[in-house]
Amino acid sequence: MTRNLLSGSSFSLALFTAHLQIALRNILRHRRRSLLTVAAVAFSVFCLIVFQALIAGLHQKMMESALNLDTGVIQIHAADFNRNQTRLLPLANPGAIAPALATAGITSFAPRLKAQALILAGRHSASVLLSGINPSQEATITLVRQKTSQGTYQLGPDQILISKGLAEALGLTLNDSITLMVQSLFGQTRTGRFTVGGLFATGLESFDQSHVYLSLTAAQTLLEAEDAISEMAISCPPAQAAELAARLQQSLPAATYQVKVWQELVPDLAQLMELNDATFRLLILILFVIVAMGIANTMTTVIFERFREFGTLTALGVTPGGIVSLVMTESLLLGLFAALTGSLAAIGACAYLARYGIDLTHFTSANQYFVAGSVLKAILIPSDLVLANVITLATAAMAGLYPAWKASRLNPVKALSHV
Amino acid sequence: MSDATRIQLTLRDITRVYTPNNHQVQAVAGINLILRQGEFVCLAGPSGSGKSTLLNLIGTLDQPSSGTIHFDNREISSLSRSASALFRRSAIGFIFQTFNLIPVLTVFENVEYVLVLQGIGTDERQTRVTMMLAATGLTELAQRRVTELSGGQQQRVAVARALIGNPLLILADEPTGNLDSTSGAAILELLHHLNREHRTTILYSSHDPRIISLADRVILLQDGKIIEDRIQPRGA
Repeated sequence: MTRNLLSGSSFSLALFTAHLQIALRNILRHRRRSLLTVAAVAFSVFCLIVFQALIAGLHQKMMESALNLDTGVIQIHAADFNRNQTRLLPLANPGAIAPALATAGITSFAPRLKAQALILAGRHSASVLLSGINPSQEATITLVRQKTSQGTYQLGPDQILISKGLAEALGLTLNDSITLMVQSLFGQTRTGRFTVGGLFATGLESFDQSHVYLSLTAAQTLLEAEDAISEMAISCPPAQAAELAARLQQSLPAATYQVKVWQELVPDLAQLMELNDATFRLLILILFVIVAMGIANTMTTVIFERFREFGTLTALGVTPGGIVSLVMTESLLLGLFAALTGSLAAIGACAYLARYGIDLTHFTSANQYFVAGSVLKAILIPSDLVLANVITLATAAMAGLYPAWKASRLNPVKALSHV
Repeated sequence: MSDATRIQLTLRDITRVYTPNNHQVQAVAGINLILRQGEFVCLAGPSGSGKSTLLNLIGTLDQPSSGTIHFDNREISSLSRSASALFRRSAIGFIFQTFNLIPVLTVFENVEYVLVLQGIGTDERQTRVTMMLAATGLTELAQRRVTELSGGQQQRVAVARALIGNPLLILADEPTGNLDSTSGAAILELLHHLNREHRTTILYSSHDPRIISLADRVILLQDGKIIEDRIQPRGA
C-alpha cells in the first residue's frame, strides 16, 4: 500500500474543536492564574466601556449646554456674515428659508434678529447683545425659557427679558423700565423704552451679563428692520448636523446664504471634544498595553510550563501552524472570558450611571458646558460596546502571538526532555 | 518484493554533532542502517550511546549533521518543520519513556487526537478508538483522565495512541524505563503482538537485558556507532 507521507492540513474543524477543548481545560486547570488574568483584563474592559459611556454622556451634556444656550446645532446667515461683525446684516428673502427647512425635514427652528445694544437704567448702563426672538419657536432651540424663573418668557411688545445678574448690576427688578439704545439697519441711533418682563439665570455669568431678549416684532421695530431676521437657528441631533446642513445648502444658494454647523459655530467645543477623545484614546492605549503584557506574561508562563506537551504534540504531527492555533485559542479564550465579564459588569454600571449619574457640582465650577445641569450621565453606545470587545480580543490575539510563535519554534527534542 | 523483505528505512553515514557550551559532542558517528518492513528491532546500548539521538533522527524530531535518511524511498532527513510534522503524523508512532500524554484529555481523547490530526471522520474515530482501547485493555478506563492512571496504564495509553493512526513505523524510546518489570514485559508483549498482527515495523531502545531479549533483531550501539547488529530468536 502506498501512502502519501507528506499529506494533511494544519487546520480542520475537528482539530479546532479539539484545540478548543484542550485550551479550555488548561484554563480551568490553572483556575487561580486564569482568574487573575481574566479579572485584570475584565477590569480594563470595564473601564474602557464605562469611561467611553461617561465621555459620550459628557459630550452630550457639553453639547446640550453649549448649543442650547444660544447657538443651536445649525445656523443660517447672510453669505457675507461674520461672527465678529457688529453691523446688522439681515438675511435676504427670509421667506425662502421656510420651504428649504421643510424640504430638509427640519421642524425645530427659530428666526432671530440680533444686534449690539446699550441698556440704560438710571445712572447705570451695560453693553449687551440684543436678540429679537419668537418665544414659542425659540423655546425649541435654547433653554432660556427653562431658566426664566421670574416674570414671563412670552414677551409682549414693550417687554424685555434680562438675566437676574444683569438686573442686580443695573439695580432693576421686575416691571422696572429701561432704555435700549441701538444702531438701526440704516445706521441711525434709535432708542426704545421697555419694562423688565422676565428674569432668567443660566448660571453662566458671562452669558447672563451680556444677553437680553425682545420679541422679534419689537426688535424689528426698534431696529427699523421690518420683517427682517439676521439668523435662523436650527435644532437637530448633532450627529445629523452635517448631512442636514448639506441638504439645506443645496436648497439655499451659497451666494446668498451661509449654512454653518455647530463645529464651525462653536469651534472651541468641537476642539475640546476632540481633545477629550484623543486623551481617552491615549489612556486606553496605555491600559491595553498593560493588558497585553498581562496576557503575554500568562501565555509565556503557560508555554514554559507545557514545553513537554508542545514537544509531544509536535511529535504526534501537529504542524507549527497547529501549535500557533492552539496557543492563540487559549489566549483568545482568556480575552473572550474577560471581554464578557467586563462587558456585563460595565453594562450594569452604565445602566446605573445612566439613571443616577455623577453629580459634578463639587468637581467643576459653573461653565458653559454644564448649564443644562451638572449631573453627568453615562450613555452606552452599542457600537462602543462592540468596539471595546473587538479591541480586547485583538489585544488578546496580539498578546498571544509571540508566545504562540515561540511555542511553534520549540526544538521538539529539547521540549520532550524538558523537566 | 514482499512486505517482509521490503526496505523501509535506510540510513547512510548519519552523524549528529552537538556543541553544548562550545564543546563538540558526536552523539551519532557515521551510522549506516537498513530496516525492513515488519521488523521488531531493539536499539541496545548504555546511556549516552546514541540510542535516543538515533530515534529522534529517524522520527524527524532532529536533523543529522551529515548523511541521509530515506523512508520508503523518500528523503526525510532535511524536511521543513511543517513537512516533517506531516510525515510523523502519517507514518510514525512515538512511545516515550515518560509517556507524554496530554494531561487535560481523557484516555479516549488522547488516543482519538491522532485520528483528529489525520482528518478521520467522527464515526470512524469512535469505532477505531473503541477497538484500539479494547485491544490494549483500556476500555474500562476510556473516560478517565490520564493523570489518574498508573504508570503501566499510561504507557498502554501511549501504545494505543502510537498505534491508532496505523503508522508504518513505531519508535519507542525506553518504553519500559519507567515501569516495573511486569508492566514493562506486558507492554513489550503487546507491541510484539501488534507487530505480528499488523506488520508494523517497531524500533525500540533499551538497556535492560530482559527487554532487549524480546526483540527479533538487536542493534548494539556504543559511542554513537553500531558495534553489533544481530538477528536473535525471541527470548534469547
